[in-house]
Amino acid sequence: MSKGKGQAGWQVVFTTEVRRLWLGWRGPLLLFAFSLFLTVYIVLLAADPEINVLSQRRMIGLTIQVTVLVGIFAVLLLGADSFSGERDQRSLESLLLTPVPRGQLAIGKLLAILSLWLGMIPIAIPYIALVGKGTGVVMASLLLLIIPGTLLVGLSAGVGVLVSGLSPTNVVSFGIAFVVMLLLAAPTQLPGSVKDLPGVHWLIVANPITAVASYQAEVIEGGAWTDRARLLLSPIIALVLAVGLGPRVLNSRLSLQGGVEE
Amino acid sequence: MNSSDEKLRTLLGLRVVCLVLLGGLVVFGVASGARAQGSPTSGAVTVEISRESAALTAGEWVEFNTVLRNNGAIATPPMTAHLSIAALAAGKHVDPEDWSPQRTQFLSPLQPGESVQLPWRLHVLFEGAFASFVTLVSENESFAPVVSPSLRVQVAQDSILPWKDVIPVVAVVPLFPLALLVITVAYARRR
Repeated sequence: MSKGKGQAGWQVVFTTEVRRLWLGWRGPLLLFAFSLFLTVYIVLLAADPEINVLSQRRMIGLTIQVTVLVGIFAVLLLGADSFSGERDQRSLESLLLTPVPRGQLAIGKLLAILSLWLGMIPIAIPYIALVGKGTGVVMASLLLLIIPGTLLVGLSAGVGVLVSGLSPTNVVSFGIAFVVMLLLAAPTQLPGSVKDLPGVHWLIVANPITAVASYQAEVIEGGAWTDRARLLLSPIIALVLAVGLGPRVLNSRLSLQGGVEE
Repeated sequence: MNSSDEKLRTLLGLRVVCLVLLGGLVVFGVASGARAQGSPTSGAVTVEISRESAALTAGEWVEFNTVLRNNGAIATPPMTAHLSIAALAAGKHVDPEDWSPQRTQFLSPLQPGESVQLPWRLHVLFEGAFASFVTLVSENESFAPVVSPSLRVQVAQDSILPWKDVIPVVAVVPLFPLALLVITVAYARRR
């Protein structure tokens, strides 16, 4: 990989990775799979006579939540493959030999992975507009998808890249990254009565995924954007830690073999 | 002992017997009265319903009241009013917890002539014909259940996601990423 004229190292990596993602089959295939998933989801909603007459705002909230969860796991898939995939294919050595700081390699790959989310958002828009038709909260729903949703997707990509950089193989990387994100995502399925328990409530606030889901639900149900804005604190902190500290950690720890030792 | 003494003793004896019998009757009467007061006939309690029919669209709420009146001469025992919902045709299953957030109300004893109004809310979730009614029961075993007239609910279908809106979106949107996939695969092959 030759450093482009006047381009920072991360920009060169970013350009290369974006080309590989979008001009190869992975990006478009993931987008197609995403659109099929949303299609099946909407058809199931429309076909279920009990769900199809429940609160429309609740249905919008569910659709946003599902969209963001799919985005989280799609970028996690790419993130967890970013360095460990190259390690498995024995192409990491040439990447590490380029005169680009390893932290910048991570930044370039991270931003390229996030371009998948930028492709997913326009696909999700017609589905959310369909579910929110006639409610007057379609625009708010799209903003909720784009702003808090991007916080979580960015966090997921950061976790994936960090774990991939430190994992010796792809299998280990996928295993760890998916377990971490599944543990964070699982509490979104807790029943409402459990979520209101005092101890559980704080766990929900501290967990970035459940905090964003609560915030989105509040706003869609008519709450002001600023009322529960503190719920966005944990996803912002987690994103800063994953995206801000991840490349710093990889700058010194990214190695040919992987692992966390110096 | 002379005959007058015997007559006197006989008279005293009769008076004692009479007093005992009278006392027994009084005790029996009081006890019967007390038992009667504690076990009112439930026929003395009536339940009226504020509306007997409603035509709605699925997803809407219907609100109605029941008025309980004690027409008897004695107080009722504490009672429980319970809302039931039943589908009137086969093939529909009503999950009452989903249809009504509060289906049970507990009532203090109603004094003679007293009445109380109970509000109810029903969330009709899907199309069909349904009947909803309130049953009064009591912990007191002698209180036979009292059932209100039913509210007949006719629910028409109205879905959030009508198929005429769903089909164009689900049929068209996946074509865009599919076209992108086809183009990129073709581009990769040409390279």
